[in-house]
Amino acid sequence: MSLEIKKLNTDQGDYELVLSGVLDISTRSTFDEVFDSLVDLQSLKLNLEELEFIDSTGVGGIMEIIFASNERGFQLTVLNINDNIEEILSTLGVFTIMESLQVERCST
Amino acid sequence: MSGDNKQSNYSIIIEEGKEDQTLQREIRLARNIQMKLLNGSDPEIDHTSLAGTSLPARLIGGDYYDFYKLSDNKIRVVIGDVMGKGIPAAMLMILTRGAFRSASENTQGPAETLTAMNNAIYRDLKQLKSFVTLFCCDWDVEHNTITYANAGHVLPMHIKEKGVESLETVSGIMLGGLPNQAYEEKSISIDHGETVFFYTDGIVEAQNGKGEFYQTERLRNLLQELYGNEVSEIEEAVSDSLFQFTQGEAQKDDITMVILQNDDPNSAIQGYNSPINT
Repeated sequence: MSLEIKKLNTDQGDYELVLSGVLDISTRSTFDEVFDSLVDLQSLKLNLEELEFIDSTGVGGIMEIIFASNERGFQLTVLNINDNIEEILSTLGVFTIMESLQVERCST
Repeated sequence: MSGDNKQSNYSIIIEEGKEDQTLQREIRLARNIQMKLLNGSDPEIDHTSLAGTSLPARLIGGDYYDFYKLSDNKIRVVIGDVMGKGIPAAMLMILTRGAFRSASENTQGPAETLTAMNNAIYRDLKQLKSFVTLFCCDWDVEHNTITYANAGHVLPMHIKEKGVESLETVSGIMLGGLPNQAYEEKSISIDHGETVFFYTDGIVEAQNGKGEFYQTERLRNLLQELYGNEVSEIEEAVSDSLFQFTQGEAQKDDITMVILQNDDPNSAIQGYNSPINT
């Protein structure tokens, strides 16, 4: 199983990453490379609607972006978290961390 | 290419071969260390059965469980999962083990233990961009109760005659997520003949050749069928079920389970492998 990332550049520095497939130890480097390629990042929407599976390494990738948004000052919104992924992120406490760091979470 | 260059290249290949052998030997030694630390003797407790087992997906892994004797006929149980797999996860697992044993000496309950552990290793985990999930509980042999707290780990299942249910949710985030965290604590009774099944997500996320997951529901149904079985039988049945489901597919994640069963109301801890808190 693989990870596909659709990169949408809506405006200068404004991006949306649409993830589909699997974000795990085998695909994490792809995820990191795409994130690192975002130039002059001002705002990022992370769309998880089509993400089928995530393991702890994948969650670590999302956590890094959450912390990066706080440290580098770009706006982060996590969009369309499906039920499977929601349960995993909720158990781990990712939403509590997002609230603490004022990361937005919404559905489109 | 000159003869000298050929000689030089040959030497490099030999050296690389030696390095590979050294690395392989060191990984095997690391595996031995981890397996001995992890899969030590299970505690012997009168009229209470308690056992744990861990199977890494690679040579070494990041799953963790441990037991720690407390005063007043109590034993502290912990199970956890370090982000990632292989050598990096194994190194952090050892860090977690040290934090647990140190915290258990100086804390009153599981919630306090998790807070102390997070305080101890938060900065290291943050720096290393990693995290650890942990479930921690105190089994009170005299009063037949489990008091528990959770740091982002999958909740154990309570196997009763009437059914199998996950323990009630308590708030608490993973270790390494945020500093200065407080963890909620709850208690439940474990009646005679009942069992608590602690596990890591490697069980429910085991995959077969079609890419299907084992899933929580399959585990729950199996555990229901196993009510009344001994701890060793439950452990073996879950392992067999996983093997049958995956049909020889490579194990992708570490698999760990700890099983605690209340056999008698008058149980008392006799002694085991963990350090004794005096």
